[in-house]
Amino acid sequence: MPPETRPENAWQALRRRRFLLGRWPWRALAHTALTLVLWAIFMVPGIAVVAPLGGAVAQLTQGQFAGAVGLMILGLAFGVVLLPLMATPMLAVDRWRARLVDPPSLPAPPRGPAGAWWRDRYLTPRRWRYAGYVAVTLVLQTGLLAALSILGAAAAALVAAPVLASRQDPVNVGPWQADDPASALLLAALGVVLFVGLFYLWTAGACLQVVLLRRTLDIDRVERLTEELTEVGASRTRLVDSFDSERRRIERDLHDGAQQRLVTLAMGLGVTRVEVTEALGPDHPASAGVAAAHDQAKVLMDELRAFVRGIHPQVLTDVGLVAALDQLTASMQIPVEVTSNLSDRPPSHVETTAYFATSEALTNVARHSGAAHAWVSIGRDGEDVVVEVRDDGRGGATTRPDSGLSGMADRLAAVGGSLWLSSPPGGPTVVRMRIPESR
Amino acid sequence: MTRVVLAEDGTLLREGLVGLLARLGFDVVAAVGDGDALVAAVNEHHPDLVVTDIRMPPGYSDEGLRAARRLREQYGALPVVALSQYVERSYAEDLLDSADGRAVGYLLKDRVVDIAEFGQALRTVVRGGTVVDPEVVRQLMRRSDPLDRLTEREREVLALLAEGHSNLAIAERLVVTEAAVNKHVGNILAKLDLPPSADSNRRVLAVLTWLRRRS
Repeated sequence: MPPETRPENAWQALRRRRFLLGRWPWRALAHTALTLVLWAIFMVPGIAVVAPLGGAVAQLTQGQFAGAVGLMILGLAFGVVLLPLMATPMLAVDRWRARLVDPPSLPAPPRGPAGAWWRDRYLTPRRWRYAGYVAVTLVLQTGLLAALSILGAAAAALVAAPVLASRQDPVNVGPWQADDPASALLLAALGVVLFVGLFYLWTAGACLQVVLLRRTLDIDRVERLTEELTEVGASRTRLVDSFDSERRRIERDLHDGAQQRLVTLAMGLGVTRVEVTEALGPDHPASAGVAAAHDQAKVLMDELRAFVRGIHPQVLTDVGLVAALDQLTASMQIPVEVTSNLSDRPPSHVETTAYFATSEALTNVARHSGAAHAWVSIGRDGEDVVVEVRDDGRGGATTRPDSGLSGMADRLAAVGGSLWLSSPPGGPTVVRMRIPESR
Repeated sequence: MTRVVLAEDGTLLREGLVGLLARLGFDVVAAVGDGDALVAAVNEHHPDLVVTDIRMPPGYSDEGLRAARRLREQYGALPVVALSQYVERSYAEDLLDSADGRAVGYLLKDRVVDIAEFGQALRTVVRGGTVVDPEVVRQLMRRSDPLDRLTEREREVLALLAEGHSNLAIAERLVVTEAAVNKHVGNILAKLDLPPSADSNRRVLAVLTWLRRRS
């Protein structure tokens, strides 16, 4: 048996031998006694519920069925209106007293949306769950309290049997009768046993109540986690979208600004080059200088164009995925065949994702595969756009966490898509990307 | 003097192009910034040549191209040189489909910085010729398997052919005799199942038609 550690809650303590000597039974008793506070809260407005119900019972005993039914309906109607309202403070007290039995605090019930008071109180399943919980709690705990009172009184009477037996004769406690000191002692022993049993009873009752509370609040937690997960998914989609539109903005800025200026500059240098060469001859140092400047401006133009294309190709926005991939593959070292059987353009987030994922896949082909040919085929499968990149290279591609392929998988996942990779040693490598059109 | 209407939405570049065209001996009668203004300017000035950017306001997609097509439908083979930010086959095809591809040019915008070549391309189009950016030809050729049958030199010749050069000009560029170029052209047309022809413009169109059918 492992060495005994201090119990962390009443439930653990209950199963220990030293349970009766510890503080947990007393804490549990306090927990049960605090049911009276719940009642006190309930009774402030709850008199409206209890009074008609009490009246109904009174009418019943007098045989007034119609009046009884009317009062009962009135009481229940008050209950329906008031319970969800009273549930909140009662639940707060119940959460607070639960720490007597199980010290780590329970999750707080979520706050309702601001400005939707009525809706939140009466039209959400959560509030009715709380109301149900509170109603069940009142019944259970009141029952427990009543049972404890009766049994406690009985136990006290039993324990007191020897004392009573010495004064009056005989002693009657329920079914038992003691008419001599010996049997009175027996009854007293029975009383002690009953007391001990009561310790266990109320502690178990309190534990049960906390379990019930925890379950009720856990449903909220699952709901909240589900909501949070949905929100996280939506925010990831928003992030990817804003990332894409940001790239598009940078592309436009560069196109309208730096690229235009650079073309104008190179054009000016081109004119100057012609003029200087005509005036001074091609061998003059000034001619050579202008020629070099002109050539450098042209190289810079090419580099800037390639850079802008890497950020977000204009042709992807203007014309579409196939045209953009045509342009991309035209600059590759190995021949790449692009085929598509799309009859219309997919939504822009699908095109953008497909373009950059394909671009990444082709970069891998060029860098690692040693392939002589590659093929890109684009098609639809139901609601999804499917892009397949195939090469005749050596295979063995993997999705290591920091590889381009795993980045691709992340990107695809963000729009609800998926990546499928087959790359046996010796090839061929096939990357299949699936992107849903709707999200 | 050749009268030109220019359409380009970037102010800076438009001013630069006006200066360049003037320097190249063209008379720029109007310089505008979008497709509708281009159509209006052509209707007003009846120019000999239109130089237009393809991507212009308000949609920033192919406004210049659509304006050019409309004008060529209206004015027969109005010479048009379209400038494109990137190579797009469908743009080139669109232009070449209008007026049998006569008097039309499709060039990457960056070509304007090679002053002499740009000027020559404009004059070719004004004369009714066809000019297609070498990059377009290169991309089309990459996609076409039967071209694998051509030798490296034959492909070079074909690319120059598609740009609208005469056999003599090709010979000068490749530093070979004109007879050698004639032989290459004959081989190319034979390998691509095209009948030989003396008309360089028709040869270009034939080559492009073939390339477009292939793609």
